[in-house]
Amino acid sequence: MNGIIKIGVLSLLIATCLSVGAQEEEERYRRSSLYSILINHSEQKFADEIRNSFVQIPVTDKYNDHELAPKVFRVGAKLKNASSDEENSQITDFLERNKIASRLVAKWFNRDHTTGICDMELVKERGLYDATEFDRQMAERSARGKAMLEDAGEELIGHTFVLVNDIRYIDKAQRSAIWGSVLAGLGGVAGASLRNANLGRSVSNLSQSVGNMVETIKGFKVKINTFLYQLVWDDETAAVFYEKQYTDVADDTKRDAFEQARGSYRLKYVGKVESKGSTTSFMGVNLDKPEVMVRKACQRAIDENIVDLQTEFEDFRTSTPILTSEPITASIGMKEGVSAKSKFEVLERVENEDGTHSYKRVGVVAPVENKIWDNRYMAVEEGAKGALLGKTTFKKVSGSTPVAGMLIREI
Amino acid sequence: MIRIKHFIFSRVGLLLILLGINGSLCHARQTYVETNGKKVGVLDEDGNEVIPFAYDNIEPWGNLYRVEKKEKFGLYDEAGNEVLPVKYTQISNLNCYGRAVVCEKGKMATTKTGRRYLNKGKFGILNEKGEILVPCEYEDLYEFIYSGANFKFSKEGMCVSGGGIYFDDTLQTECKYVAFGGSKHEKGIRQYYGVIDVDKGQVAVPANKFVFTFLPSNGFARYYSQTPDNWSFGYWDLDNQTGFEAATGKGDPFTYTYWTHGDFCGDVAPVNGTDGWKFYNRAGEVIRSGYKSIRHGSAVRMWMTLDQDSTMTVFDEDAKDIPVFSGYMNIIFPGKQWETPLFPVKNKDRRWGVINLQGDVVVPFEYQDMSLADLPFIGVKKNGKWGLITPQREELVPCAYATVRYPVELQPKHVWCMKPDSLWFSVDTKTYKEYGDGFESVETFRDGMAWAKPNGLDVKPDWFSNTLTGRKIDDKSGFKRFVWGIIVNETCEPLFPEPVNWYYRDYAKESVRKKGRALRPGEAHAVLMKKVSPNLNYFLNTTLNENEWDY
Repeated sequence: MNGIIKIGVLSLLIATCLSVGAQEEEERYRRSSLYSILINHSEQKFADEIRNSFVQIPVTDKYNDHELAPKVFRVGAKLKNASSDEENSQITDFLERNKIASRLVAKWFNRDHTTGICDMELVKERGLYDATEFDRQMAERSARGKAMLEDAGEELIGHTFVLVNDIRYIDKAQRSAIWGSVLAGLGGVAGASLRNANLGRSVSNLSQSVGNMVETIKGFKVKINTFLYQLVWDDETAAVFYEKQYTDVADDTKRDAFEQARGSYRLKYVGKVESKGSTTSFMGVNLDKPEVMVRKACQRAIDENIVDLQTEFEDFRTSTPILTSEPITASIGMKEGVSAKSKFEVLERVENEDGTHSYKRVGVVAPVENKIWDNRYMAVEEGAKGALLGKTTFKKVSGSTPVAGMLIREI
Repeated sequence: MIRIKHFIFSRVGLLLILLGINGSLCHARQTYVETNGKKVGVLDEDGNEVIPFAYDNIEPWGNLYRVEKKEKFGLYDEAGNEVLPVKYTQISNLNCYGRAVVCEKGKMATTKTGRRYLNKGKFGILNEKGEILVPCEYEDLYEFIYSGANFKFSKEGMCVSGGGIYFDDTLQTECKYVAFGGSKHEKGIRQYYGVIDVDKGQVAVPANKFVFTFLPSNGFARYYSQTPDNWSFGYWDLDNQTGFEAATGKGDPFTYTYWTHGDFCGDVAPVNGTDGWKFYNRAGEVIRSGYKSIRHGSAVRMWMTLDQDSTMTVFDEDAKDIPVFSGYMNIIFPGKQWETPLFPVKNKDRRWGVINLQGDVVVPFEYQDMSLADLPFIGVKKNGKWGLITPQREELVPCAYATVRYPVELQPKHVWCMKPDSLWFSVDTKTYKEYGDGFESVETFRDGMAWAKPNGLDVKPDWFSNTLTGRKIDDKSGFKRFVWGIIVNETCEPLFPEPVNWYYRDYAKESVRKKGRALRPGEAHAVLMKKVSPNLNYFLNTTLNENEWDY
């Protein structure tokens, strides 16, 4: 225990003294960083609606927002081999051609492309470093400072991901048009099935006013292939960057060095998942705003894909802090794939003598059935069970009793 | 069997639930609908039935519930008492003033653009208690929401456009008065409509009596009426149901370039006749006349008139003279009510000073001209140059400038001042030191920063500047599209050094606030790209230009 500060225990003291502390603690843990891209099929119906929905979807709070400004890229035809689990050459080529990896690195250091000036503000903020101590160690170029940089590189910069979402609308127009007609014709019955008879009448009205939009939108379904890439940030890359390209004052040489080296930064292909293509419930969607259905379908499918990617790729998994220890709760739910069968390891974060962080597994917890928060997009509007819980309650499976501030990660 | 859960909470904790006909599932704070169930009711938190399960839909409606059954609507209170029986074709949502439309008969229909309206129904008005203020007797109702666009006469007050009630939205006004009837339209304005006093629930101005009637004010409705030869301009007394003509005119009133008559303010109304301005009282009598110009100070509720000899008279809205202003040649009414009303006045020596309501001289008569801001600052002119003082005669800016921009914050540290070369400089209000190299146009300082266009800043049209002009700006505001500047602090140091279009200036300022310091050029570029990128089209098979990326 010498030289190790038990962050979790400290957090417990804070959390039990002041309930607000738990909420604040929730914000203070290291997350992976994410840049999401949409491949937008302009040859398909609803291309604009999908695009407009996508740009409104925020980065989930389990990741840092590492978005670059351009997020939507159009194609006029289906991607070749989109269903294959293999690396997609069109996507990889796009990422390399546009030197996305270098831009993600530049964003980490808030690099000014006109002067080359960088700073460590984002690294300090996301790495939860003591800003004053961090600055001092960097200025002294100490061993401790070097360790901090390595720690930040490994756990923060090296955990920067690019999600490429190839969203295709599944055109079931004929089927849904029939469905829409049935709804309109049998207004009372159909309406009752979703909320009330009012719905059937509204469908009829809207069909007249906005053509087939509502009819089609009710059967709206998307298939999403999500490709995951990870920024390569190894010792060699970091050394070159810090020595040859990083500058905190205007420096033309270092600025140009980075520009010339942009192509040397790399993303590695991690893997790919495909959404199940299941129909999303229309519940909670106001018929006056059928475009909300597009966002609901897209966002839920993307969230599901992120969960699947986490399941398959350990590096991409997120951690969530425990809010309270009695009962054990965490701000995580069905959006993150929590189910009655889930199990989570409990991690205690420790700060080592050299300023780096590490994690120690201290136990295992599982969700309590019927106390799983449904935090999926629009769960509240559709009246889903568990939508108002605000957090998921867990029970201890093994190990020591978790305390507030410790992290849980699905296993 | 599909089971759908649904919750809606009212403000007082009553739980609106949708329940299947088997009615077996009723959990606190959760509701269940089943496909073979159709009825809706309201339970309290203990599960007791408050509104019976007899309705197709129930929604919170202010403090009440709006219930629907077989396309008829009614209202219940939270205790389950019927407020309005379920017999109305439609009850609109409440607006923020507690007013809604209630209808009988007719059939709901939809326009081609998707707006929902009632066809061949009878309209009335409800308050938030569910009380019918205007009975459902009118084939249509209209709100006074049309300013008449560019027509001079209609700028004199709100009138009625052709559009009726749509149920996609609430009513838009407090509906003290609504219009009904009428038929003809001209240039977007409905004609020959009548007016209902909503609180009294009765007709205040009969339909088909006047061509145009304006939103009533102070007990009178101003009207335009047409005779075979003339137009008649007058006032209709809402209480006594009588009117009087105040002036006449010839030709199409849509082409008039002058005001004909104004609403009653207090007990008097101004009328512009062939013999100049005059004032009528509520009895329709001319009580003052012969003025070549008039001015109204709404914040101080006063009138100023100049007669043909340029003698000034000031009187209140009860037409009582205010003697402290007699003997002066001109007066400026404050646009907003200051804590202590002060009045710049011009004396017979043609010098301006400031007096209070007691006639005491607050600022001596030593200025060529004066002007007033909304905040307590007084623009003063001496030797042909403008400066700025406080009512306490504290000099903020010396009289040395072509013009001065009024501060919008109390205790301003810097004020924009323009020199004769038409360039703006930031002047320190303590030291009078000037900052900046001169700006062509400036925005008033707020929170220590302002958008300002440096002299000679020339943003050439290219991809980036075109992007930043904002694609969604409509033509009416298009003049701003090509106005570029930077964000500076009060000493004119750049805080957001990249040229930013006027349209995005607040966004740029917000980015500076978030950062807590001046942005570097590259940071500013990144901020702007983040804002505009969602509006742009990129293609997967292309390589973007460097300036299309933020990093």
